[in-house]
Amino acid sequence: MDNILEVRDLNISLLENNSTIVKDVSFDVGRGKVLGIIGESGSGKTLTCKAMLKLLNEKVFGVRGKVKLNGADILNMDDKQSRAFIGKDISMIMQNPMTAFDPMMKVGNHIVETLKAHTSLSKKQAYAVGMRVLEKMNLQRVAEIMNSYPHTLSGGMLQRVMIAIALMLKPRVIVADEATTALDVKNQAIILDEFQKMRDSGIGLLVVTHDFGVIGKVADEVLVMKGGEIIERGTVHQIFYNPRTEYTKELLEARFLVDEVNYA
Amino acid sequence: MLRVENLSKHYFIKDKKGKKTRVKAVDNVSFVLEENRSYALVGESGSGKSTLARLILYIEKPTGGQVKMDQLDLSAMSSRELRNKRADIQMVMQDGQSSLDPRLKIYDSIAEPLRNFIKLSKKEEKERVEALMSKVELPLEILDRFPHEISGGQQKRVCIARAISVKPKFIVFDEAVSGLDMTVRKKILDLLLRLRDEIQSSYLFITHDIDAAMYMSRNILIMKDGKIVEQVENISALSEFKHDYSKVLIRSLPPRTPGHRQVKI
Amino acid sequence: MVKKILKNKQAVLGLLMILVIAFIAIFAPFIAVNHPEEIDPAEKFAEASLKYPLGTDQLGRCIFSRLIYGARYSLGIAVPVLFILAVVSILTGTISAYIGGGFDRVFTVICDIFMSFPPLLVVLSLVGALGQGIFNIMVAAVFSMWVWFAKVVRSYVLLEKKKGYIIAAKIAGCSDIKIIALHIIPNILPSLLVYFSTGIAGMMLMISGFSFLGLGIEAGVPEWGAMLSSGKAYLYSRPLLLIYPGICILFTAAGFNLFGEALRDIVSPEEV
Repeated sequence: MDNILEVRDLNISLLENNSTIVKDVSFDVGRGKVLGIIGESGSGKTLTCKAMLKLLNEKVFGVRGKVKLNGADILNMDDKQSRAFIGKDISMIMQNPMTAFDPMMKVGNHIVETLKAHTSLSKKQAYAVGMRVLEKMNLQRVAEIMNSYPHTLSGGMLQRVMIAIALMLKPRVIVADEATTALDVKNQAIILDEFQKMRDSGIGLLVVTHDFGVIGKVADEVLVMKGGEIIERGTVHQIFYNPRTEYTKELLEARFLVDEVNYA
Repeated sequence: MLRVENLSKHYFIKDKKGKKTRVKAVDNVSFVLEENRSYALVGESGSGKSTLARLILYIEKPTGGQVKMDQLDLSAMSSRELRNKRADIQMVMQDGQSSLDPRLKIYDSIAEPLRNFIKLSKKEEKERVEALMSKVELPLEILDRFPHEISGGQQKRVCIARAISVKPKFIVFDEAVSGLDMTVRKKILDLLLRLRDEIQSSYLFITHDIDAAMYMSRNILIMKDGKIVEQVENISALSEFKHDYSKVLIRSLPPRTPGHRQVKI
Repeated sequence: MVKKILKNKQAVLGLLMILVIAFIAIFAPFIAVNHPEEIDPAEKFAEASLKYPLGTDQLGRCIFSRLIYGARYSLGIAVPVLFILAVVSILTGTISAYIGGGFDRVFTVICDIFMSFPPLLVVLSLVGALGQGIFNIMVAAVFSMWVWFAKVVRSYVLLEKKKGYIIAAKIAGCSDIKIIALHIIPNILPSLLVYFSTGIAGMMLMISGFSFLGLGIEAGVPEWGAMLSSGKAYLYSRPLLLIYPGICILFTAAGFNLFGEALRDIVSPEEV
């Protein structure tokens, strides 16, 4: 088996009234493969991501199930052990890069701090690594970016910086939660190209989105979520050409408004 | 007919050294919108499309140029005349929740333009509001709820009801469907298309999404850095765009299908 | 909102404390056992007794009765002053922020000039010019404080003015006056209420402080600050003369503060 990430029977409930909001979610992410999860607001897709990375407030949400990263169940480890995996072996790219950065910290410092937290590099070495990963992301004037505050960069640039940070710890799995939603089409295309490069380098990608355009471009396999459950799964071709549920058909129809003829 | 002539809006922003620089949010834009037709304006974030919308509505004053409605220059009007003119040109904004007063019940929000533009008795007002609710396909029981108690799609429909309540000649939609779920977006777009024939208004549909623009209209304007770079009338295929920037936008669109892309299973 | 207040323990406690003080102020003549200004030289520094429930002060006046009447002065000055402040500041702050531009800049400069003088200094010079008297201290308090309130109102209006529904209201054909009266003020009122109800405690402390310093209120008036002031000479021999009015001031100020703070908790989540 070549699965890096295996999620088994993930259930999330609200402790307040014991209602289940994500039910029996199971999936695998293979090496160098892209799994797309598509769903609308309230489908539970973001909660699923957060639960995998143990980002949910334990006082509010009850999480059951298994999240195996290379066979090790990080969900049921104590926090001390799982911290060695989360952020390093499994990393997350969020929707709004602006809120993911400390506004008072320069991008360079951010990179250095992240590296120092997970590796034994010196400050100088970390800085050099930072420059290199930013260059790899096709960013220009890297030294300038390292020396600027997050709010001075555009959303698209910042998202690339965030991907660079996620990549520099050489994770095995990256979870991208609506990572392209806040971007315009040009930046979206750039980020999606980066996703394909990541896939080709052997990283497993979990792309969570509400947009079938993103799925069509990068996903190998697709899960359709609705109301906290997986209602359909299949390869990207099956989902696009032979959707079995009405909901998937509706979603596809709603995404692509204009006939294909017009795209000639 | 709405005529925009050499419309400009400049801002001054201070850079790091405290030096003022001029930003041309809208730069010498001219176009004509005919009655009973629909137009779509496509631009990325920062292209100045929202500023343009506000200039057309005359919520912001232009730095230069004119907005003329049926040959009348809006800038020459008194604030009272301008207010009355607003019955002819309405706008639906991007964020449904924030464009509704959080302390007004839905009924009062919908009735507000009616109260301002048309004098009605309480009974007539109620009938009109209820008729509007059925036009935008909302259940009557949400009338005495507050904006935060209804869904995003419902908020949007309330905003649309407000806009169509005074039977305007023009409605500007400023990113009116972005941020909604895809299925909700489709339903709202279909509603707008149905309403257009019913109320005989012309639309200016402003969006970043070419797909939605083509769905709403055959007359497309492309905006970049404050300028209209291309205007295509009666478009039937994306290949009719000629400007380089338009082509870049189209190339960036995600594919309609996964096609023959190599897929690892 | 009323329901939420009744659910919040802190708000209910504060409200009860305020109601107790208000009740005492209104029914002072029925609660007090003696006339607050009646001097009985034979009974000065008397111990607590049936005739004088908390004893007497250096002039033989009934402390209990004086405290009861003191509530009238505290509330009777603070509440009307605050009301006038609220009206003045909402009018000026809203108009300035709504019109904006050069007008607002001039207004801000005027505010800054006013704010550069500490309120105490303004009151001192005004009372010096106008002379003693409760009315004069009220005028002085309004004059020294209105800018602080107006600036707060202004900043709330500036925030509110940028919101989408104000633009939407304009498009819906509302006149400026309608926008201010029907949209802006109803939406900032809850936040202002919080600010004003915590402000009232500060106001009372300030007025008591002034009378402690011998400003504004004539000698012999049973105001709590003035009682503190006249008792300070007997700090070591008769500490109770200071402690009683001190407790009253503390109790009332705490009541308003508790209520105001609880209101803030109730109002703010809605704003987010």
